[in-house]
Amino acid sequence: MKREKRNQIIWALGMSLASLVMLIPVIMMFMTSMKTMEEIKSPVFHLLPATFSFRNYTDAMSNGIWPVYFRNSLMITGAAVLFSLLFNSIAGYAFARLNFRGAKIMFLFLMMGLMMPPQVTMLPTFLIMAKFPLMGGNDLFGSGGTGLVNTYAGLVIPLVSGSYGVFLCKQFYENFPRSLDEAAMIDGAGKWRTYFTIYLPNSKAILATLGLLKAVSVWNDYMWPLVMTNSETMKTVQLALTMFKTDSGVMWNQMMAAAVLVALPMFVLFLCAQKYFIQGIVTSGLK
Amino acid sequence: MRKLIVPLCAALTAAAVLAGCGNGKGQQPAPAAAENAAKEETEAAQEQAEPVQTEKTKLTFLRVGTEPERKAYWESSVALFMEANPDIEIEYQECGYGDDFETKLNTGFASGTAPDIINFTMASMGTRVPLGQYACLDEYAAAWEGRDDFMENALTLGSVGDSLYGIAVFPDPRILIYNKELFVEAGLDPDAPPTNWEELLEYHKKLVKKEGDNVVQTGFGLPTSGTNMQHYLSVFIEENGVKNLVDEETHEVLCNTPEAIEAAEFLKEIADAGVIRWDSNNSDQNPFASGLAAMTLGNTTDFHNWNEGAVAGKIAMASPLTHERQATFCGMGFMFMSGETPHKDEVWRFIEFIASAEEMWRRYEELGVTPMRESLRERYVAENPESNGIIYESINCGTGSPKVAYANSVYNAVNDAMERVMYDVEDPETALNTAAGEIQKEIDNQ
Repeated sequence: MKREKRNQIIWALGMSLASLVMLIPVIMMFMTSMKTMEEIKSPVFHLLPATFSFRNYTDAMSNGIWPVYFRNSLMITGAAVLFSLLFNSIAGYAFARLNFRGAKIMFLFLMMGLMMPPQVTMLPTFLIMAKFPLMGGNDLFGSGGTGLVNTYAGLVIPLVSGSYGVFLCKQFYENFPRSLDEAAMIDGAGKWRTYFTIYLPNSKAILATLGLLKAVSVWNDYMWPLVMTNSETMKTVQLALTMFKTDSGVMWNQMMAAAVLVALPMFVLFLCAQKYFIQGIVTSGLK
Repeated sequence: MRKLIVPLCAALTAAAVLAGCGNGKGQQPAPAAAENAAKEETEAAQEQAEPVQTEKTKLTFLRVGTEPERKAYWESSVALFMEANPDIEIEYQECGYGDDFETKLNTGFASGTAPDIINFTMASMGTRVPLGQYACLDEYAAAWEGRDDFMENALTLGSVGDSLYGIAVFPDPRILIYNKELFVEAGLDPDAPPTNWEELLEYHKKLVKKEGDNVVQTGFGLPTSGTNMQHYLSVFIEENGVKNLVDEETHEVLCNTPEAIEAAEFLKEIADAGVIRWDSNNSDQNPFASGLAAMTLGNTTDFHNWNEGAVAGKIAMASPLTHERQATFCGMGFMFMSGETPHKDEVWRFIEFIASAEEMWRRYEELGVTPMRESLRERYVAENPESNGIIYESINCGTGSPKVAYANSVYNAVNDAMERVMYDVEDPETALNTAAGEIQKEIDNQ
């Protein structure tokens, strides 16, 4: 008993230490956001600022049009999460429960997508968006204009599909008892109805997990908005953070203040979805 | 139920497409929408009053950097230009420094959506000129009224071989900056900074203060590591008569010539006499900023920043040193014409506008950027006789990064070599020979 307690204490201490290590960058970010540039440049390092002041936050937010950047990021993240959840869960259900010709080959191709670095597909995707017919001044053959470049559609469409989401949903739905499908079939429900009335309502955990992972990746995405947008009113928060980097250096205090605010929505989202997130990870067998 | 499937799918797809296809223009914030409404009203009124104009030529202009004050300048320049050239419409875009900008440009050129006008660095010429991404401006420059008035060295820096590709807009020379107060303390004349290598070394030795083995004050604030070591070596090898780290035209490696080795040995001699070690990646570490170094190399922004910090009011600029010749390093931001633009004449009109004397002076007044026209020289120097003449002189004798596709390999090899020299791992000759070997390998792989 005594030994068990001792192990528990060691375990708790170890985990607390590991958590602290994980938290160090966040703590540093917050502390730097409170410091003056003189304190940051000082050769002597102090973790705590001389005085806690939110001046950097107001200064940072007064540069650029932050309400617009936040609105853009929220819209893009919201749309990408919503549509990806819908499409990924439908596709996951199809792979888990429908027997159709070529399912295995299609799934194999889908899995290959997991191994493809996003940099490889960035340029072809950009070209598809830039040559999108009848959009942005393009003709039927996709020339003459800019297609979906610098539009919300161009930013969102390539993000709604994803091998990872389909794979996650497939794994999750395969754990559902077959008897549920059989019962639904006896009651006269077709595949769509089975999906919408049985599978979807019981997918909270996996949808929360997938939604959270997608939201974080879209919110934090820098490269895709960088190549797809070219105006101030289409900038996302991640792009806007670069305004604190000049040719003569980085305004670390303001950049960290803005970074704290940019990270805040994701912190809140994670805290809200934490319970489902852990469930989803457990039930889909992901490690 | 099956009957429901098709309409449901259609509705979902339509909803997805319609929601996704909402154009940014349609979803602008209220102030922007109000501005647009006002603009539309004005345009409508103009259309009624004036005869119908032909369609405007639309150009995109991408500049490197996201600093608010420079953005304000560029936006006002674009507005002024469009006011004077109502047949041209320019869309202003900007992107941060470094890889971000390279990615943006690469994507644009690969997809055929590259900007028509590009504001970027001198180093970019090494890779983009051979790819045809920057257009040659010789044809336009031949008929340009400002050609003879423009600073000759600025034109040279914008050229590859004998062809002009970039028109200089933002010069960034490395200037010798010194601390007058520390000069006085060391018994040196604060109005007589060093003019050559011998004086530099002599002053450096007089200014070094040690406590035991520790250097607590140095003369020349020379970095001992970091990615800007090559700037320091460049300055001294060019002062010793070497063209650059490599010859841009013949691709001969020059960083290990006897003169270059002599320059590295001179820097090592300075280091051995006593320096405070700092990393050039972080200019904030430069001991000059905190008054622990009496001299260093910095650009005009550094000078401005230092003059507001711990050494405010104590610092001054000095002319570039002379050994075999007077030289310094001078970075430069240029205006480039995209090699793919179908609107070359219109692009040149904008570049010509940006390079005009009026616009240069406006740039000086708003951003403190040195005008690079001979006709503005006197007026510029008169504005601040103590510094402006030196800045102009430094730009005029400055050489920038080698405009070669393998420039990054040159920087890396030279930085590593100088770090090995500074930390006594290798002597200057061995280190620079190793660097030259690495550079040659890269040239052979091109």
